[in-house]
Amino acid sequence: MNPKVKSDISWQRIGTEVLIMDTTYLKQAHSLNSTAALVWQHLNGKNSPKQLASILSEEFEIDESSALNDVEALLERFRKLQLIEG
Amino acid sequence: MHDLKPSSSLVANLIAKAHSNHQPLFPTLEITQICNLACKHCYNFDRTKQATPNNQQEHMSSAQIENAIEQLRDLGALWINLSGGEPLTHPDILRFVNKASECHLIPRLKTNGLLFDEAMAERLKRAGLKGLDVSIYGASEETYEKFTKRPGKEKAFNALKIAKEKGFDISASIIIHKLNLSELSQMISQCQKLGVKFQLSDEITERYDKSPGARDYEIDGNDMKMLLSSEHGQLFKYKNHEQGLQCSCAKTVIGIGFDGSVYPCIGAPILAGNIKEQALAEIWKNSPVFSKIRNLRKEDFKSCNTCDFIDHCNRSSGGIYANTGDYCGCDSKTLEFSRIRSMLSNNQS
Repeated sequence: MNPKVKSDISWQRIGTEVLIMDTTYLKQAHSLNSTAALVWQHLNGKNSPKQLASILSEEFEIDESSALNDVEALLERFRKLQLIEG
Repeated sequence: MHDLKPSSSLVANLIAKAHSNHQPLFPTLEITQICNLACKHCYNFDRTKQATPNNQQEHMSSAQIENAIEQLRDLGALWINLSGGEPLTHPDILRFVNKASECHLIPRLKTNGLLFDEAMAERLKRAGLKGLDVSIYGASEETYEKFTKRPGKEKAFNALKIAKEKGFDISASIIIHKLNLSELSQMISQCQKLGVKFQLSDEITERYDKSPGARDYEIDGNDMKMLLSSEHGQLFKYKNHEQGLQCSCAKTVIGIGFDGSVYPCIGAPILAGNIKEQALAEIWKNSPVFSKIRNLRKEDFKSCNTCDFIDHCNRSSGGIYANTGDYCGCDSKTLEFSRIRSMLSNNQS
């Protein structure tokens, strides 16, 4: 299953950042910088980590292998914070 | 990681950014004008004369309301207030809450709480509701009914109790008027007993349809003096340190009326467009009304610039507009209350 933002996590883009309001699980607020925000906005269950890395690599002109490492680390962090499924 | 309060540094910083960018984080969407109470002060229309609105054909359809929620999401909303009338009278309320939740918004209800029982609380929770603001009009059933034409005090406080037990983020909105002034301590202590936070509002405005009588029960200067010297006086003091004149209208706030009318705030009935006729994004970006409000400068608030009591003024541009038709002006009550606060503050210092 591809990673997906949980349906009961509230969020919105503000400028280049994303504000996440987890009012359900750990009851915390988080902000994401523009790089993480780009990944976050594509966590819709349709994109695999590889596809997410490709989006990141294209937007920020980094190589796909470094992008994949960054994406995996980010996804792991989101999972620990109970923000995503898959 | 930060807590969820808007005052936490992370959230406050991002709200400030949205304010500068003009991003409507905090919309209010009136889903109906139908209500199960007939409050004397209602700004919609005079409910003491007619029970139901005579403009039901103008109400947005459920599909239009869902579409409005999606448009708000696309425009940058995060917290959404569903209001009315009484939003729980709408047969599709669960559908709207669910839609807001699906859009990753934080849905809240502005309600009188009378229809909020255990079963409804469960259904709303499942649909994704996060919070409620429950209006409180009295500490006794008698006072409540005098103001709303129907008993409901027990149900309103019970709604707060149930909502707290179910884990909703709740707030009691205590509406202060002539009839419940003597019950303020009781209303506050009943909220405290339930462990519920409360906010006080003495703002009662003219009706949007211009019918008379809404302000007949508004508190006056003598009442404010009494409140300021009461045990709760601290709650009515206000220090406008930065001499601020403007609010969040048309910046982080937007209001959409029951008929699709778009306003800078639900409390500021200045028509900017209608979502039945135009895309919300187009109204938000191009409306001359919004543009004018966003470009107001301190000099535009002429009466404020020469006012001696500005340091103690908590003016609401929307309320003043509803009462006088002048968004940048002042009204007699705002001036009087600021004068009283200033006078008492000078006497104490």
